[in-house]
Amino acid sequence: MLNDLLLNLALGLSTALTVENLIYCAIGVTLGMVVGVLPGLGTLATMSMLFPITFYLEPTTAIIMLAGIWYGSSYGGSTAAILLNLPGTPSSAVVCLDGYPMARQGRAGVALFMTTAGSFFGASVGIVLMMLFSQPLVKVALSFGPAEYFSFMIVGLIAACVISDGSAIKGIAMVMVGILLGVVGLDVQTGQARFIFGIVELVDGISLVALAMGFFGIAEVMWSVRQAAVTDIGRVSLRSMMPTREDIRRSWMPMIRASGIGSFFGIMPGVGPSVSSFLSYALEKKVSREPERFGKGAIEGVVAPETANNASDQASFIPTMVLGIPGSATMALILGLLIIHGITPGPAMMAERPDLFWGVVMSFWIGNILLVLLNIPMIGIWVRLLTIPYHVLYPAIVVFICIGVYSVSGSTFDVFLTLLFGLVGYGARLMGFPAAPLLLGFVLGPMMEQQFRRAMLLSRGSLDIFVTRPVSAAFVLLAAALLLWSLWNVYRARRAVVSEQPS
Amino acid sequence: MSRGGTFRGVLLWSAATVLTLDMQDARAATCPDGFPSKPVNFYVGYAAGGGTDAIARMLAKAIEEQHGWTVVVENRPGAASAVMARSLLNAEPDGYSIGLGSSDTMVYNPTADDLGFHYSEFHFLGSAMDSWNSFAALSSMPFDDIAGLVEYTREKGMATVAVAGFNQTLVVQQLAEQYDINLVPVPVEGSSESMMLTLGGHVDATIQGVAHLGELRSGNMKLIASVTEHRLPYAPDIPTLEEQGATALPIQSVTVLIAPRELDPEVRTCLEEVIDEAVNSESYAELMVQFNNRALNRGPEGVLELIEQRDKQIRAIFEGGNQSKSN
Repeated sequence: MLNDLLLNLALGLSTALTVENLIYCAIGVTLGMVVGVLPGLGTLATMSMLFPITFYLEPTTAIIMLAGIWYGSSYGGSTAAILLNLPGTPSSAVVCLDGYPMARQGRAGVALFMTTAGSFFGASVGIVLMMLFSQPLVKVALSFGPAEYFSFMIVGLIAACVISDGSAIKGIAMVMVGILLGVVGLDVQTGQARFIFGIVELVDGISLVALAMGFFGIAEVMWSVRQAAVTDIGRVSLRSMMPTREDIRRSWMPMIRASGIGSFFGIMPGVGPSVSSFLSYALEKKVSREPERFGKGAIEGVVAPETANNASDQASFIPTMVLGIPGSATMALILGLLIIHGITPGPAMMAERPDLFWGVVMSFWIGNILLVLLNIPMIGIWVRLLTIPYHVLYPAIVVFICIGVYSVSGSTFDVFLTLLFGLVGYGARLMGFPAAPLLLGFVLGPMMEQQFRRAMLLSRGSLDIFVTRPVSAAFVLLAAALLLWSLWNVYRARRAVVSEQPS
Repeated sequence: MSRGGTFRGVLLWSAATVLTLDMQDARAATCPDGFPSKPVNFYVGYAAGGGTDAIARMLAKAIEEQHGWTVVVENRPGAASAVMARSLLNAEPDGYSIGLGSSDTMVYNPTADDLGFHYSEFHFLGSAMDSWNSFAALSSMPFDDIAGLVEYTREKGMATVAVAGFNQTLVVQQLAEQYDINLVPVPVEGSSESMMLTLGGHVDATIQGVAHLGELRSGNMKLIASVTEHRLPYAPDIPTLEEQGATALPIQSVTVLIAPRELDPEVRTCLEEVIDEAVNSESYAELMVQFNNRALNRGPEGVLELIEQRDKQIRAIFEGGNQSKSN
């Protein structure tokens, strides 16, 4: 067993360390990082653009490069979120909540350093799982049926309501709006188009990128124009980037929890890194002894989601490579690449092409180390972004957002939709409605609906299916407990207020 | 309608086919002078990395090799290639805009809203591949054919089949109706979701195109029936639905190359021939080996016939099905 593993590792390393593979790995991760930093520019679009080139490469080399773009973008995604309150990717939207306040406090360097550390940690956990436990994890993923998916999404949705500060009612309202927006498009069960008003671009639903870039990107630009404040970035020395002992003490447990959450959602095909980053944020806020620090620059709120989405990125290769089941459009692209090169993805692939599987796995290590080496020296340069005058920076950002949104679908409709969401998002923000719960509702809502209806089909309409299956029942119990706990907290807070009033 | 135009096109096309045969290997496509004077665009109705995308890129490569044209492949995914079809309606009919999608997108779909186009608004330049669907299940399932599935369903009271797409749903509904069994289609989004449900044992069977080939090879899954009108060349022992006595309409869909209808006849002939040569090229044949499939151009007429026939059949079934549902 151990012997086999060592042999495989040697095989993988010898594949990954060829000059060609190293070069393509470096190209991939660098491109990924840049794409991640620029708001809106999507990994999928970048990978699609480079896809034709891969016809002329060895399949292993091709996957190494495309995969590099995919996980590289997760490192970059948080940069603009922290510095400018603009998420580079939808999954880093939640990093804005605490990353941006940190930047305003002059701690941008620390935030960037810690997200890089968290990213590397999360990715490492994901890769180790892929190396050691691919087969059993795949069995776990497959054992999840519609009932289990639905029940754990309920947990997610309840957690969603705690993400934002301020009014819980407003948070819940935004989750609901998100769910409603998610309803738009073709209903998979019946084929009926819902709320598309004859617009064929809406048949596949509202684009997540358009929604995220509108609510977080455009709205933020408008907000900043309204109250252009100059951030004091302080001196960017290596020392100002270094986290304090306090930062590290606060971060290590969230990192461990977040890599667990990220890996779990990564192996579930179709869930995606956004859910894991949002939920790990929610979890940290829940378990924290001082939840009031969240939203005001808590380091945990920055580290946890970044760790989770990197773990999720790496773990999502497990179902793709082992089962041949892609969890996302990006993974489908990787599978398509294998097929074009004459490799049938699926259970037989690991045995037939160990060089490919292990070469790719080992390249992940190399890529992640490269990313850390690339990122740390860049932090000083990124922070300098803040010194660019707003009247130069923001128009450029709007242009990037438009290009990015257009590149995802190639439709101008999505660009206009983004601008519209920007306006709506600005209005919502004026009235204190938080955008993060909306995004999570949008991602989770449609999945929940599909899984619920699928579960109902399988059980012939009996709700028992959610409690008779043990895993599902456990999630339902957890959801109920969370709900009761939240209500209890509200009740206690009320009582505290009431008892204080007479005096 | 434009019968005359189509007919003339066919005459030209067959004349040119004879020419091609005569001249053997010489790339004989007869193209008007000065065409193409700029890159030709292939608009793929699906995302990069999918089967249709690979087909488009291989054909583009073959055309570039055979004729020195520049062919630009662009993905216009959305609504099962309906977004691409809609955009073709607005494209200039100058021969520089060619769409690639599935013929079944052009066929009547009773469950979907009107997407704003009809197959008669396009000209089909040919096809690149037939899609082969098959009924499959985990190897551990206690049935090996349709009769076994029917019996299994009766015993259990109900059985479920994961399906992606209306055409697959229809097959399951028809089976349920014919045998009067509780065979329930579980619609999902895309073949990978139906594979997950099947491999995890959450459904009893599935209909698949190519996503199950790896599992078939490893012996983890088995075929129950071919859901196309003939046996599958990669599994010659598995009978079709019809051979097993099932009257469900087999799925017949092909990867089509589509152009706006008002194409200049000379350009049209040129494109039809160029595409035919590309489909029959060696590099394209190699891709087909990866897909466990084979290159097949049904020709402009053949494609149109197929679409008309499918359209008619599905309309007929749906009208019948509608009545039985209402009582």
